[in-house]
Parts: sequence; structure tokens; C-alpha cells
Amino acid sequence: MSDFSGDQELLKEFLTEAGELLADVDNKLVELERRQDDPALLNHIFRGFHTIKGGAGFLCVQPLVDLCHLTENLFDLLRNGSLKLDPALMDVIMSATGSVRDMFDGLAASGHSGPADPALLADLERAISGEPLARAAVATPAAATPPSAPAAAMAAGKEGEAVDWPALYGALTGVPAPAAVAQAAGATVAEAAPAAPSPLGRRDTDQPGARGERSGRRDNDKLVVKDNTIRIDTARLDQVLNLSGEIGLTKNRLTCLRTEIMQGKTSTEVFRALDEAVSQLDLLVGDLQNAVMKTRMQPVGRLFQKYPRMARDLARQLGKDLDLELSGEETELDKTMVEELNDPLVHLVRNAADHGIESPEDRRAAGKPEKGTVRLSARQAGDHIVIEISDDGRGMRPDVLRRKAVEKGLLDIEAASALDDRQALHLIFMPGFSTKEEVSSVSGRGVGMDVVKSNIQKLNGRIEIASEPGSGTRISIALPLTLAILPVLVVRVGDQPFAVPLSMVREIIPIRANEVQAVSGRATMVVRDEVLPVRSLSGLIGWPQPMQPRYGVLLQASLSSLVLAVDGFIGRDDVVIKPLDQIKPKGVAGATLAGDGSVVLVLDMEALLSEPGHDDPATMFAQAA
Amino acid sequence: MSKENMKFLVVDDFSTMRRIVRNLLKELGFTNIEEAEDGAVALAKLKSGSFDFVISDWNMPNMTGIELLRAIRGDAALSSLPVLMITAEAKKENIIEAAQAKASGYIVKPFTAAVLDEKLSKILKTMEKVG
Repeated sequence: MSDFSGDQELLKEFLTEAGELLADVDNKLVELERRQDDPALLNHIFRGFHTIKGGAGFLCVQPLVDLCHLTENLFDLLRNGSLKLDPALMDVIMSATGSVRDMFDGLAASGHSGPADPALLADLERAISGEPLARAAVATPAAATPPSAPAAAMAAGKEGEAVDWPALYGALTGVPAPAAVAQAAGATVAEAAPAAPSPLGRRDTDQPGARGERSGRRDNDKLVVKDNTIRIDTARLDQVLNLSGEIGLTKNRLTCLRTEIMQGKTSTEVFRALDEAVSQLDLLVGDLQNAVMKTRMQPVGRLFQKYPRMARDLARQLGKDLDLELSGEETELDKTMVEELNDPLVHLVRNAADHGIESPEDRRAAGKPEKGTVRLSARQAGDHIVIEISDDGRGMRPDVLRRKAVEKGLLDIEAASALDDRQALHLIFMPGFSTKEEVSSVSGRGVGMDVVKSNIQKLNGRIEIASEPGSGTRISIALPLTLAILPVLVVRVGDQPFAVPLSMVREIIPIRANEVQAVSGRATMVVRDEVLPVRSLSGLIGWPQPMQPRYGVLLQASLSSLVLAVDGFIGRDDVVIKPLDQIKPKGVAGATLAGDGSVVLVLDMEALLSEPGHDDPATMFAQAA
Repeated sequence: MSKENMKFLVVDDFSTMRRIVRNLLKELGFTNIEEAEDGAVALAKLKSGSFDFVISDWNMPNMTGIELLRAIRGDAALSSLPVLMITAEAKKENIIEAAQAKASGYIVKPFTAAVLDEKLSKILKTMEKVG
């Protein structure tokens, strides 16, 4: 039965599909805790394990088959009412799904999966045979193995229903009368029963010394291979095909027109036809870009569906009571972004559960419901996707954050008190801000909010915090629809064009020399009552500034706003960034081609602004100094 | 009918499983294969296309394999279509249920190409005798 055991591609496909199925089962389990007798839920979970077992059988992953088989049997008893769900049983089921996930991880990493924890298998068997679960005893080796005699007998009895297939096949096809078939089948079953092997016997001999330790289970987390396949709705693919065909036709038209023009036919009709063909090409290319982009779009629900289970486990671990509410799961995002968002979102959900939501006692004392709520939502807003994580927990106090930043030596008192409340909230994104006392087994994993932020920025995204002390925190992440095409503002320094990501641009203002003032040696400017620093782009890139910049681009950088002084504008454009291969100049994200064929550097503003300034207001704005 | 011409419909909600069955059929020389992800989709396909053989999973959302089987047997145009049921279940009740609904055959996961071949040829032989 080893037809597919070495088939890497099939294994990958299985892991992708079964992984989604398992995430779905996990979510249904969290629901099941609330609606214990819902037959539809029980049936759904049963089917999940059943399907995974079926696939695992073909791939010859026997430990996975055994584990799913037992869990499936358990759910069969639950759905037909002969077994009742209780918290101890729920824990066993939860560790069964955890164990299935570990096996998936093992398969992804090495193509093999270790055996399931015998204690877990014993628990499952005990539950199936209706014996009480002694969870406290599970940790001790004596209780873990071997399974008690009645459980073994029961399991053997189950397996005993295995059938002599060829005989039954004859019964099925040979006898036309249904009633007679039933009898014949029944008889064959009874005869075949004693010959069936005991599943326990097989397992014991196959995996000697397989007394797994639950605590060691998480070790292989990091080995998970990245899935680089994608499933696309064929309708979307057909659209791409259709558009590329149309573009081909338009190209033919253009080739034809070129020949005519080169032959000297320059009548108005020819030029009108050329104009039409180019406009059409313009439209088609835009549509094609959109269509290709759509093939990479994945519903963000694929990501979200992992979190309710995680939140549930966390809540139990922390002794808190919380619900994770999801919405907007159907919102679509570029596949790369869906993957890259996982770590930041895991961190943010953990943070909300760990630091945001208070203990039930504290919540009661504050007059809140004991159960906290964390909401995770996604929606499209214009050309952005907004993902929000909000909680109804204790919120953050800007003054506390300022004080902490000073205590950590990240800022001096003066700088800290100069921050407004919004900026103070953003302090949590500073490297090194996570304090020792905050590090718990849950949130303190060496990844801080600064990593969350830099991950989001890598995706050209922006992260914002709003917090109300006592009533909760909301973190919103705004992401572009795709990474492939970047909307930019093209500005000019001298004759050289530079592209600035449009997502950072708030507005464009003229700069008059008399508006620029030197404040403690730095050029600043007042824009609608807001004092903003002025940095010249030429200064940032280390160019001389022969003439005074005439325009300012009001940029929204992560911590603060500033005015970027430039010589002029070319306009806005959608560009495709090409990375620079050999050289990596600081502050340059890549290059792109302008419409006239010239090279335009796309600026990485965050990197540029992190450089200490070279600007000298006295030379930059001679009149101002 | 030659192997290449014989048109199969493989019904399973788990695409990995459809691919496995498809691969096994290819190994046996059957190349004309279509897929459906549940009974309802399968039934619609069967009604609109000329299929010669159905291989269906049992446990599926929307319309299960056994419901599909009953619908096929209850449809005058499709009633004689051979239907091979695939399941991971080796339970007595299931087999009886399949037999009563007039399944042409019943096969338990996991299986090899050889086992599938044996089942298929038995079913096809029976059909020849009858028809």
C-alpha cells in the first residue's frame, strides 16, 4: 500500500488542504465548547477527522491514521448521543487536534511524522469505552501506558467489524434482492470478525518506546516549510487568458499601424487609429494587471481561522475569560501579505489577550463583564485593506508609556514630554520597549512590537494605535491591496526624478522662504497650527542644494509628520518596483522606469529619515536663518 | 469500450483524494476523468454529460455519496450507471446501506491501483453480462 508514500507533491497538496481542514475543525471545537450538543457541529468535526484519515491512509502515515481514527470514533459516539462532552474530554480532543497539527508539521519538515503520545491515545480509548478520564494522572508514566484491559478489548471489538471485502463484494454485486444482500453481508461480517488484528497490538509493536512528552511537542514549530502553491478560481484564470488574447490583438493592430506610418502614411485616420489602439492597450493592460493581481488574492479568513483556537488556549493558560470575534474573513489580500501577516497578527492577538484583557476579578471590579472580547476584523477601505485588532481591556496610558520609555533610557525626559498622546502610544513600537516584567510565557517570545511594526512596514503598510484607558485598545493596520504595484508621487530634485510612496503623502504645500523658521538649529514650518520639521530631499540624499526648494510634501512617517522639501513635481504614477541587484544604496527601495524610459529611483522614506539629518537650516534657507 | 474512451466522474470533497483516485485511474490506463466536489455538483454534471462510470466518496457536505447514489438510481436516464462507493468506513451498516441503494461496488480507503482495477473489472464484467 505504498503507492503514494514518496509522492512529495501529493504530500504538499495534502498538507495544504488538510491543514485548512484542521484549522476549521479547531474553530468548530471552540464553538463546540459553547454549544455542546449541536449535532451539525459534531458532524462537521467528525467529517474533518474522517477526511484527514482517508488522505493519510493513502500517504501511509499510520500514526496519523490511528490518531484520526480514534478521534473520529469518539465523535461518532458524541454525535449519536452515547457519549457526553465534558471539560476533561474537551481537553483530550484539543490535544488530539494539537497532536494532528504536530504530525502535519513533522510531515512538512521531514516527510515523516512521529507517533502520537501514547497517553493521548490511551485517553481517547478510555473516553471511547466510556471510562472516566483521570486527567490528573495523565502526566505520570504509570497511567499513560498501557491502556486498561477493557479499553483494549473495546477497541479490538471495534476493529473486529472489519470485513472480508472480496466476500462482501460478491454479496453486493451477485445478489440482486436488497433484503437478501443485507443478510448475506451481515453473515460475512460476523465470520470475518475474529480474524481482524487488534489495532493496539499493531501499534505497540510498530512503535516501541514511543512514550512521547507533551512538553517537547512545540520544538519543531520552526521547521514548517513555506507553501508556495496557490489555488485559483478558474474563472479568474480565464479572465487573464482572455485579456492577454485581447492584448495580442491590439498589438497586431499596432504593428500594422507602425508599418503604415513607416511607409509614410501619416493621414489623420492613421493617427486616430493609433490613438485608439494605444488607448485600448492602456485599458487592457490596466485590466490585465488587475486580473493577474486577483489571481494572487486570498481571503484573509485563511489566516484568521487559526486564531480562535489560539485565543482559547491562551485564555485558559492565563486564567482569563475571553472571546475572539472575527469579521470580514472574506476580505482578500495578496498571498504574500496573508503569509507575512501571520506573525504580526499572532503577536497582536497574544498581546491583546495577555496585556489588554484583565483578569476576571479585575474586570468585575471595574464593572465590566467578566468575559473579555478581542475583535479581529478586516475590510477594504478605498485602495487599502484595513485590519483591526481591538479589545475591551484596560487600555494604555500615554503618561505611563512616556515614563517607561524614560526609565528604559530610550528617551530623555524632555523628548518624552514633547510627545503628544498619539506619539506616546507609538512608543510601544520602539525596539527595547517591552519591559522585563511584561515578559510572560505568552507574550515574551523575543519578538517585540518593534518587529510587528517593521513587518508591517515591509509590506508598505501603516500601523496606528488608539487607546482609551479603562476601556480598551484598538490597533489598525492599513495595507496596500498588492505589493506588485506601488502608487507613488514623483518629485524632482534638480532634474532628477524620485518616487515617494503615495501611502505616506498627506498633502503638497508650497514653501515660502519666510515661513521656514530655525527652532533649536532645525528648520521647521507651521502648517495649520502644527509645527513640523522641514527636511530637504537633497540634504537627505547628500546632494548639494543649489537653489531653495519651492515645494513641500507633507509626509506621514511612522512616529511623526514632516515636510519634505523638493524642487518640483512630475505627478503621481503606479509603478512596478525593480530591486537593484548588486548595489544597495541606503534609502532606495528600488528603481522603476518612467513613461519616457528614464530610470526613477523609488525612495524608502523610513530608511532615509532614520539617518541623522545633514540639513543646516542656515544654508538651506538662507533668509530664514 | 476502450479504456481511453471510458468517461469517469470522481466525486470527493477533498481535492487531494480526487487527485489520488485520478492518479490511480491513470495508472490503470483510464484517462478521461472529470471531477466533482460533492454529490450535488456531481449530479448536475452527470445530467449534462455522458459519463460511463462514477466513483464517489461517501462522506461529503451538501449531498453525500449515498444520496447521490439514490438520486442516480432514481433517475431514469442514469439508473444503469455503475457507481463505485469509496469510504474510509468499514462499518457493517454502511455496506448494507450501500447495497440496498444498489451500489455497484464498495471499496475502503486506502487502496492500491491493483485493488481498484480488480473492483472495476468485476463491475464492468457484470455489466457486460447484464447488458
